[in-house]
Amino acid sequence: MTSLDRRETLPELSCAEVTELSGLYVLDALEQEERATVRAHLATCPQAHAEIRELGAVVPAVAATAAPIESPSELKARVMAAIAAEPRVAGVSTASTSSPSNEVALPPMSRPVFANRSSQPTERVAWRPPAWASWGAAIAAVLVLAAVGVWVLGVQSRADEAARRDAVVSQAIAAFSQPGSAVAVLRPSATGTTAGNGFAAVTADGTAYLVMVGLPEAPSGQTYQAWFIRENQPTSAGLLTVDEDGYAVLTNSSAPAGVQVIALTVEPARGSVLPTSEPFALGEVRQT
Amino acid sequence: MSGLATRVAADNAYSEAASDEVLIRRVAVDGDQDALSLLFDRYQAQMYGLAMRITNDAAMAQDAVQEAFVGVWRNASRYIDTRASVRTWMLSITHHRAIDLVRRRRSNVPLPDTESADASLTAPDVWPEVARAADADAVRAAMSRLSDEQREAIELAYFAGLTQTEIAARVGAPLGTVKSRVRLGLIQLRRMLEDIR
Repeated sequence: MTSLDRRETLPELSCAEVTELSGLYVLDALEQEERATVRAHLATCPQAHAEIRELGAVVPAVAATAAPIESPSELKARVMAAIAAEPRVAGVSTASTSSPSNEVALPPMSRPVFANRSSQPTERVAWRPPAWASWGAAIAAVLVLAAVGVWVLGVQSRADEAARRDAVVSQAIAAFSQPGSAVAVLRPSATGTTAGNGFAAVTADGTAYLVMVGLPEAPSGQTYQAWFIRENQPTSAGLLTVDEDGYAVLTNSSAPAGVQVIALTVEPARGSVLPTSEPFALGEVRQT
Repeated sequence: MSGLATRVAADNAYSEAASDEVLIRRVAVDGDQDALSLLFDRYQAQMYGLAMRITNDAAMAQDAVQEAFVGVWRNASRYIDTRASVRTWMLSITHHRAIDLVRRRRSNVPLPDTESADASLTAPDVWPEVARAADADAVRAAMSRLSDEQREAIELAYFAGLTQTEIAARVGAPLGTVKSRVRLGLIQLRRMLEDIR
């Protein structure tokens, strides 16, 4: 059983160190690993680090001091040929949704997505992660508890299943920790009555992982279903079953581009095409 | 006759004025190559100019612009997550590609494939720009009012693709000083751009 503490993969920076690096960071002048450590800090720091946005706002100005130069005429043909040679983009079609508009600004989560959605928070405030001092330590602690649970119960026949599940959880944690992944922390929703916390990670190629801990078994005749939500449109991410250690894991799922929120609902046993109840757990997706 | 002319003019104005955001959405959602072609026409000069400033090499600059557009094509859906303008986002990708090429040329070591795959899959960070960010004359004037050390540090960091250690060696100052000069210079620059009426 490996304890995958995030500290072991990336050195941690203090707030002061991040501030000191903020100029080089926004100019994209840091080397890859140091850039990743800054991003890791910003993703989990309770401080707002407004200086990052403030300095980032000036970078386009610096870029503008480079005088425009007409590119050679043959460049366009080369570029369009390179584009044509790219694998066809499986775009997320919005043909079935609202009429085309010129606005691309993210809509606030004010339009109801779920049936009977009432008291969900509707403003898109700057998302702060929950006060988990260190994600790696918290996840590792959960894994240790699970390992103890398996040992104490002494059910050896479950060891293989647990080992497989642990390997998947390790992969999920690795995906979560990888710069360039989109990650979400899932917390119980304000109105949900099902306990359970977890995290999700979508790697750059769209592979999605979801790990929940502390979920009770779904009520008889029902199941847990995960959803990718983009522009208020949910698509199913798959069904989750809770194992004897209280883990529910989702892999082999492919996320559409631009997922903004990951949510969990309780659905009838075979799952649903669209959510039929309010989410009991939610997490906003952040690009690392 | 004048009514028809007005309608035709209005139609043309509509199709010409398809905003950057609309074009990016068409690229992201529909895989629309015509939309990308329009973005190319709009931004190729700014992107090529930036790439040339960084690489000082026409062939390398063209590669950077080409790679940037491939990056735009692949990552258009990620643009929707930013709050910055399309222009800022595309220049940021161009900058990243050009710096990458310059560093590879400098170190003469080919990077492993996963590195270049990651580089093109991960779009750099962008932030909503200050009001006068696109006004080149205003920005140049503001930059000239920075101290020589601050301006030099910013230019070496942004255009030369030097690491902080390399900048420190080049200017003969400690690392901490370099970080400070860049940061304080950008803060100054921001204040000056905000003050311009």
